[in-house]
Amino acid sequence: MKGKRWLAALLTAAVTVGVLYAAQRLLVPKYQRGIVEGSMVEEYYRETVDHDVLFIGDCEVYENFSPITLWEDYGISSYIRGSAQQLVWQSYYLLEDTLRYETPKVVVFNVLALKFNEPQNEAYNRMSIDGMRWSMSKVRNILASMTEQEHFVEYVFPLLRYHDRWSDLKHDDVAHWFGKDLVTHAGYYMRVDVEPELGFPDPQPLADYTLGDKAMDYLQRMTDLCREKGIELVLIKAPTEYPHWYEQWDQQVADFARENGVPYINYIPLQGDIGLDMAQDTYDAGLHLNTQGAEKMAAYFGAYLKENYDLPDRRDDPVYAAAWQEKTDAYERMKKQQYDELAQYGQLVSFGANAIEE
Amino acid sequence: MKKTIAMLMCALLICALLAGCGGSGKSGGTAPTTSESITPGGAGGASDAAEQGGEQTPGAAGSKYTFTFKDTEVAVNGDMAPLAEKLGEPGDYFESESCAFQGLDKVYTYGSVIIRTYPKDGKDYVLSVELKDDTVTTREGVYIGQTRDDVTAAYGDPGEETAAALRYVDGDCTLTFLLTDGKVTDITYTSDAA
Repeated sequence: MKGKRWLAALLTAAVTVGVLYAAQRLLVPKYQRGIVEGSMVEEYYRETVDHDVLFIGDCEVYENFSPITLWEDYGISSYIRGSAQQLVWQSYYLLEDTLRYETPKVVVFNVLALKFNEPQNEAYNRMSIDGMRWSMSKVRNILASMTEQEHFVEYVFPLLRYHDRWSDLKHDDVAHWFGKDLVTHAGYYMRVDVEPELGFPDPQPLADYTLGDKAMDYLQRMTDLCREKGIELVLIKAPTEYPHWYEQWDQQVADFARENGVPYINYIPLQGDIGLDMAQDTYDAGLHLNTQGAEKMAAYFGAYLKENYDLPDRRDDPVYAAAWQEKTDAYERMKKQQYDELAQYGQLVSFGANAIEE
Repeated sequence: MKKTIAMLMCALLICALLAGCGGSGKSGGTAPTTSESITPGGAGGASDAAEQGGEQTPGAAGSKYTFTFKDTEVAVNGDMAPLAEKLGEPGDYFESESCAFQGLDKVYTYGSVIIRTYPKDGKDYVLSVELKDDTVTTREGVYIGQTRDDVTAAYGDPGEETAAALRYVDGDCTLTFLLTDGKVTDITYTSDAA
């Protein structure tokens, strides 16, 4: 009798956990079409080869550098661990997380996020954090990132946060209930369309140009962590000009780089050297590069990496070659699909804002 | 057996409750996946007013700091659509799509006045109003080129003061006077809810 009770309790617990797990899987956002940025962080765990170069940062890395070009032109195995509005501490904890799996030779960090010194927005937090595997890095990331309205327990049990999506479920929620497609190419977000840059409004003067303490502290921690692990850190400012990157910020980062013995390259004044034509190489009027621009940027940056760091050309390694061939094929397939859509509809319909399920 | 069924029913009920409750709690509301609850991102800009500062009725933040332009009161967190209609065609207009979402940050330039907006619930609300030269004045009569003393005479002691700025806060609006060599060089009303 006692045994039956235990069995019943066990069965009930198992069913409850199973149902709740299934419900959670169904209700959490899938980020498979349109808004795909929430899938970026978790895709890293599906990688099969190590990476010699790791990019970390916000949209200025995942939209401006093509890892496929770095592979094809230089044999550099690289990955972008980026997400939308990825804050500096989120980049730091993603770096920590990555180092649990591999130790790249070079880490590239884009400095635009230094403008943010406080948690900003739950939606972006979710996209940056939910995809992380559980570790102390994720716990600390949540604690550093939560806005006042957020609760830690809702990160542990996302069902508590997303339970009210049941009436808003879309086709993708069901189609990708238990399995998601890759939406990036080694972390790169592809857009081949073109919308020329036509200029930007004058930057708003600021009362105080000092980069925040918290942001700079995490930059220091990132620098120290790289040094401790024998990783070369490269600080960059991507070549895109909006939002405005103030001279005063640039100087502070340059000073930090000099004091810490790490390189800092602001690519904004180097647009011409890179070969960027912002009438052609951007898909959103200059905020981000399109694929043509990202390939130019990667080709230019790859030359810098090869010249300054001891990075192996892995194209002759069969394991790497096979893994990257698969990525390259997927990249070319998506590129063709996007160009076909542009030819047929004059705009992308399966990607970007037009693809968001209503 | 009855007990097992009852326990299973309880478990399913819990699931149903979790799935069905309306999300009216503190952290409830629309899950953060749509443009409704989202704001500008890596591309920089405003953040979500409701998420940050509770529900905002357009222009109802109750700040005494508002700006009158073309006989129209312009208040931060106000609905931009009727405002844009009253103010007419801007001399310059710029918009940028936020990362990951469809919301647009918009910048309307009306000569000496620049209005920036943030998206929320399918509408645009005033994020900031910036005065660029001495052809426009605040309601209290301060304009670009005046001195620090002129500002304090009109507004009293600031909430925050540095060599480069005077800040006055009321409701969900911060009014900032930037100073260079003791002279006002920029005046901006900024939403604190965004």
